Amino acid sequence: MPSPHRQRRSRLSGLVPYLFLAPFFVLFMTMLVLPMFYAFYLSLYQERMVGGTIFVGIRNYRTALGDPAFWEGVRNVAMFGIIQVPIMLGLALVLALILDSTLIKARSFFRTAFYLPYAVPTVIAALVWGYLYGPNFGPFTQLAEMIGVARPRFLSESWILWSIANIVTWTFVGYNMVILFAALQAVPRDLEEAASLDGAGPFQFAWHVKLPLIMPALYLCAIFSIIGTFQLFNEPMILRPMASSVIGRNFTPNLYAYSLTFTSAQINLAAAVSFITATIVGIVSFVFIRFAARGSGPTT
Amino acid sequence: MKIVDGLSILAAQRRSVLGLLGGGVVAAAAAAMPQSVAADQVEITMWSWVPNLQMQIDLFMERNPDIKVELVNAGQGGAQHMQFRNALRAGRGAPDVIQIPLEMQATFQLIGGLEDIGPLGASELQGDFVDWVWGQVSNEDGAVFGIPWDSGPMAIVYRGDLFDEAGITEIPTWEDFREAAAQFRETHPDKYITSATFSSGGWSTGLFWQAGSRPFEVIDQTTIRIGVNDDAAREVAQFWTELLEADLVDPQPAWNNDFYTSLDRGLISSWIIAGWGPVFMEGFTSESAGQWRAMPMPTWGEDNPAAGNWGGSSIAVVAGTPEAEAAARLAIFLGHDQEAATMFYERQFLFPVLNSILESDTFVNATMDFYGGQGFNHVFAEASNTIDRDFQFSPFQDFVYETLESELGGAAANGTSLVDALDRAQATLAAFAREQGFTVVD
Repeated sequence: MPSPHRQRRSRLSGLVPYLFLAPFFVLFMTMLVLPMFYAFYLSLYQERMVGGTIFVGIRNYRTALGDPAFWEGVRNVAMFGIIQVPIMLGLALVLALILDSTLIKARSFFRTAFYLPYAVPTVIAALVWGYLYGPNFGPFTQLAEMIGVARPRFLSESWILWSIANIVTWTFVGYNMVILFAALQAVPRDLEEAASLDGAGPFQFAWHVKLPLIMPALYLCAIFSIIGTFQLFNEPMILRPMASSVIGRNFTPNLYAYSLTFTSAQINLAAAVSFITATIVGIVSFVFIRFAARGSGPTT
Repeated sequence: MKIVDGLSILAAQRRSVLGLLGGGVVAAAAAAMPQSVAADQVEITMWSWVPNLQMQIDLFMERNPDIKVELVNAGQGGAQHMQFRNALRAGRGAPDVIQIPLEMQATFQLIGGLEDIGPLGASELQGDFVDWVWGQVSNEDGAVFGIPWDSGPMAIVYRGDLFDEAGITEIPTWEDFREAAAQFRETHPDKYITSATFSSGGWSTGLFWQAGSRPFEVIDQTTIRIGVNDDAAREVAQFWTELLEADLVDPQPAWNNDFYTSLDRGLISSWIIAGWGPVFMEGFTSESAGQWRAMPMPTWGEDNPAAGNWGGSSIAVVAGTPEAEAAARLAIFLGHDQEAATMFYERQFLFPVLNSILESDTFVNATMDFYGGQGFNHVFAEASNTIDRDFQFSPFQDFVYETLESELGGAAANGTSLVDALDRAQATLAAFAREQGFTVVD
């Protein structure tokens, strides 16, 4: 039979893990879980200027789901994701492979240089690119005038999504590259010897050995990028005054939720829009993981 | 009107409790130490985005040692409106005094956020302010929901040199403006006389206002008439659609660097802008400094010499503040005190709304380097006297501006009909108002 002293000690030591968890848990609950429940609660009501607040159940969800403005935003980010995410990850992968190879010198310089745009706050990046895109006095326009070609119309309806994609790619290529580069560093070096003994060149080695080994890191990048795409907000928000006729309040689902909250004071509908957006992100991420896991065979 | 009821009950409770407490403190202080100031000093908070406002606040506190004012810049536009809405909803956290854009006056009145300070000394000031601005802060029953602070009578601020070269000296009517625009394009094929900045809701509203449009009428607390596409607005929209179709005006949106550079380099040679505009433009016009002039907006016929308004604000007392009396004193001081008001236009460049200032020689004759050492305040001051008093904003003006911006701004950029855009805006706004519980009539 254990002594009372020992019993008390073991009870205390049983508490220790929870104490370590507490800071995270408290912040997680107060900053994430509670606000989510509150937003869900809000989404079930409707506050009106006349008639006060009433319980409406799932009506806000039905309104949002039947709202073409919301789906237009979803379509925008979906198109954006399908085109921009592969381009960005492809670039990041190529850069990471180049950095990891023995092809280049001054490796740490290039690594920092590629990563640098990520250190620029997205708001600043969008402002700078907005200036570069200027239809009359932006540097690209000036350049086009000088060499006598048609002015680029970065802020026009047909270009705007890709102009934003360019900003996002510029910002996040380096970030993704660093993740992939770190994974490449973990690839055992003796594999390289083995591969070269088997007669594989550097490209074959990269394609057949390195790539399969860093697939999990690539999936991670892809998931982050998909989530980031659906949350697209800063760049369109900053470009809006320069392209107000093509970036509407519903250009992305987040922009729509923002506008519903801050412009038309429809916080309840905004809460429903947020939940639907989160659900869509969840479904897309889930499908992607299932699809990727099935397609990649032995590496997962 | 659940929210409003709740708020007023809450306000009444707070007032009575605090009134009792406050009365007690005052009585005790008066009995014990009648000389003391600190014991019964009242503390109030004010939200405003006017730069360097502390100057005038200090002046106020110097003259009113019994009131201590804490100044908070809670942002401008949507951010401030949302904070104020939230504070009203929560029943706490709202300031005692708040700067309200004129176009949001109706919105915050309707949700019961503003106190009637008519009985607190504001009613007597009516005759001292520009008539139409007073109309924006008061109602027919004599309630006064704010002291006018500044306004934005509109005029054309233009490049004197470029207009001279095109032989344009005056533009009495909008029909004349069409001709002037064509003439300007002929002289300067690479430039435009002005830009159709329909991507700015305040700008378009100013143009519609001038033409006599009456887009909103709050009939009672639950009934509203909406007609953003009324005949006057349609006439304006049709006119600008034609100008855009004929490539006589530029379609790019305002409020971005490319636009400012276009103005500075003469690519766009004028901006139809409010009285606060020249000082703003001075900040980004370096190449063209000194070349600018101002002329009145063209009118819709000689029998209709009205101008439009864009912007302006009032100083309101927040409903339910326990310190309504002190708050009203601050509002009245900032808006009505001659010294403070003079400082506001000289130092902070608020366009004045006090008749005494608008008529004063120092204001009318003030010169600016922007104008090459000339003065054009009289153009805006005269415009200020011709603005339609009966124009009403909606009780959800944030959303109205955004709707106008996306519909009209989009149509201007894509070269489609602005009249159709107005019809779409009308449908959107009517549906929104119904969703908000209003009965909407045409």
